[in-house]
Amino acid sequence: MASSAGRIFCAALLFSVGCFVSSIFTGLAYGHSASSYYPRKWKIDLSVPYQFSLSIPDHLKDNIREQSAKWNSLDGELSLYADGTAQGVGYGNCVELTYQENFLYWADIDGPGGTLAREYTCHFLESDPDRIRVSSIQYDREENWHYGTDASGSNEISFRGVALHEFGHMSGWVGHFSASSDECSGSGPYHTMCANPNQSGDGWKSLEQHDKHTFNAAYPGSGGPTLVGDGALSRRDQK
Amino acid sequence: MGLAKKAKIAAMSWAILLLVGCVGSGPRLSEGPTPARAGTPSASGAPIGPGVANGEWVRRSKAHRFPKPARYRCEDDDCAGSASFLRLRTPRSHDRVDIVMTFTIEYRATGGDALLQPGIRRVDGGGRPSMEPGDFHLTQTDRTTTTVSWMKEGLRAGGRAYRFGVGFSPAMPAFGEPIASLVVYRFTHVVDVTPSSDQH
Repeated sequence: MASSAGRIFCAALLFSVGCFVSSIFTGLAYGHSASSYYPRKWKIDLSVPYQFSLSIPDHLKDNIREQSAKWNSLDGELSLYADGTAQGVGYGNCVELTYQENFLYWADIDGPGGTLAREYTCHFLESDPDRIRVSSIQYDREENWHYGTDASGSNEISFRGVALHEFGHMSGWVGHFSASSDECSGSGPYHTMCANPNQSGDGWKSLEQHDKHTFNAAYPGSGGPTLVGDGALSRRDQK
Repeated sequence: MGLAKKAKIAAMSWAILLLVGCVGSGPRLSEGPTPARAGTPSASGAPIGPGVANGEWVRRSKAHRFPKPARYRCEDDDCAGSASFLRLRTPRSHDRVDIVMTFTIEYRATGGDALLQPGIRRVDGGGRPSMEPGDFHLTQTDRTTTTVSWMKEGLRAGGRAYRFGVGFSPAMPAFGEPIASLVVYRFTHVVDVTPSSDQH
């Protein structure tokens, strides 16, 4: 009996060690970790609203909602949801906003080409400097955007892809996969969190393996509705 | 601006510099009213901050030293920054007050300039008055300390509560630079409130 229990214990131990070693090599193979891409995160209330500023054209709103829903579909504990339209105070403004006033803007950035869109994250210092408090996104209205789900034409940029990419940054993702990495230059699918859309401009339209597991490592799934503060349902789950 | 007002601001600036000189080895984080001179009303019991008594001026200040230097960066389409805030309720006894906000930051900026943004927001919502002279660019430099001041004259008082903020972040990367980075070691944030000469 004791011998049998010992064999079971040893088998379990070997399995655990094997899993541990495997996870190390898997991590090395991927060449990235959640902590390096998510040095700061949303915390406590992980149901994060964003508001369309008055500059966002109506025809873009459903398109944008679809892209945040793709991140939400990963079933991480973070969810990003549209919460109406309001007067924004300006991209990158950390001092005139309060917690979770997260605005999206449609604005001139640098004309066609160059920067397609950009995201700005604010971290306040009251209690936890690594906690994200406010985020804003700006899309460059001067780009030659393609809004459909079909392939973009030559010299067109998929708005859906760019919107998906920027929500990755809104989630707290800092930086990008290296341009020379398998995620961005290999034979496999082109990842959304590469620095640039691929040559056809359609490279960012879906979340791929390493987009997903990096996000899920930062925000593991909770499996249920999000509770906030005193245990009340989050604003998203009340809807 | 009258000479008397200039003299008042100059006096405040010297007082601020003295304060800044004193906080170098101060606590990691402290926040509270700093009476400008004996006789200024205490803020004890005030939920947001001190009021202003007739003929007096009041300072609210915060010194923050990061346990490890805080790093913020802008890379391509992805940028991060932070902000410091002080809350203060204006006196019910005055319709208008003048504000001088001073921010001293020990920092290092690489790959481009850094940006300091002042901001005022009413705590109970509503207006966002601007401060002069607005955003301030810190040129990229190795580790150094800089002090910047902003003013707001004739801010509506009468008991209104405000949040006074200074945002800090890298500006966008300079041409040819992939990443702009701002490293912050410590800062002091001071707000001085005086009754405005124009109460209407």
